Amino acid sequence: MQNPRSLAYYERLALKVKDQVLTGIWQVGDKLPSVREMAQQERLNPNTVAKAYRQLEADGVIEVQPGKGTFIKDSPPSAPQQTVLWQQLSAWLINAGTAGITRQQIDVFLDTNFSPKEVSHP
Amino acid sequence: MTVTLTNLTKRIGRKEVVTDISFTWRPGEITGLVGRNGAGKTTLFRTMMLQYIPDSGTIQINDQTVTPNTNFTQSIFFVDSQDNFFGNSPLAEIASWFTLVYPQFSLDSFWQEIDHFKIPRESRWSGLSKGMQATILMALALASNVPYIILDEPFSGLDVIAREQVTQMIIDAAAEHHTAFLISSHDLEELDGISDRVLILKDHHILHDYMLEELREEAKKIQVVFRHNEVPAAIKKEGTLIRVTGQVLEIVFLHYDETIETALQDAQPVFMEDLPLTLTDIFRTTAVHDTDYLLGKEVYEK
Repeated sequence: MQNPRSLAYYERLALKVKDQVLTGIWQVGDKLPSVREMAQQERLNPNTVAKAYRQLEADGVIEVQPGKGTFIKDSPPSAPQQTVLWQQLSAWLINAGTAGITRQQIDVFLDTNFSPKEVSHP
Repeated sequence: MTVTLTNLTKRIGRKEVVTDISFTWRPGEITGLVGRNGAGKTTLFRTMMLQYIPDSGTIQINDQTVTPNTNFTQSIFFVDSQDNFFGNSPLAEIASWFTLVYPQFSLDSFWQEIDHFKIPRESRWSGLSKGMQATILMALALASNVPYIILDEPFSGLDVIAREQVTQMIIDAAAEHHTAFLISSHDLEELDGISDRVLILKDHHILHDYMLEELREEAKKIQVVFRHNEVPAAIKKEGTLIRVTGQVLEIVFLHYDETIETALQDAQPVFMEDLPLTLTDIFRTTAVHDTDYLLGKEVYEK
């Protein structure tokens, strides 16, 4: 996925983690680095990292187990969220068509950028 | 516990060197203090620490107004980097002075940091590289166990590795001990990710006080080429041109909204792309009206 721009740094970090979950870099049950470790890795303010983690928790991507750490959660498909996203995509496709983006260009983009994890989890 | 400056003003001779500065420095907050050379950063620190007696205004620590008798050493760490007394002293001697001055100073944690960064314990200050001196200054600051640390140009003259070490120490202290930092620096790249907030100082006064994450959510930076190089009026009004490369304009909108979005779309630019907004861009945006920074004036004024 392309790095989104003009976002707050906490949003960027949250998106990065979500992307890494989709591409399988993080698996369900994996322990994420602590806020301090992640702040070091990303050279970010710890408050910013904590905010990204709160966002990820609210989005059901991670869960905090007190005293143990932060773990990647098995996030079940969320029907309401999907509805919103489909609506946004429909609107986007109409605008894209008007702007002259072709079906073929979208296919190429999807092939190179969108690779959700295989559904087969043991 | 907070540190609050209210209308702080200092004159030296006839010249105001600190002009009506007010801000509240909150616990755990990393604040960058940026400004062009001579904007008054070091003078502000010296006045905050009452090394210069302010002509008016107050400094409060935890709602207590500080006086020349106030002992800062349980709350704020500051070492004047341009005028310290370390000379050719061995580290042990420097550390022992700090144990006398800072009541919560921990020799253990000081030596731990020194060992961690593999600095020989028997070193003498003036024989050390700039990078090691910067690391030692950080070790002294952290070992002082105070909630507020002032760093005056901590990255100045350091190589990449030494800069990373200093940043690492700042992040660790903020994450583990909720230590607040006030950091003056010209190294905006280093400050960018680690700062919660930035104060932009100009002519001895705070020109802007930004919470960076809030600003990033509101602002937008684009690079754009307009047809016939004609910049729409609404864009000129709302945007600040920070760089021109041939026909490509880099424009920052500190408050991006739908009006701007519409104006951009209506102009049907030849090329347009979003760019990440860095602290350097924010600083340029605020400095762009300086008389010696009249970049691209001809483009905007035609």
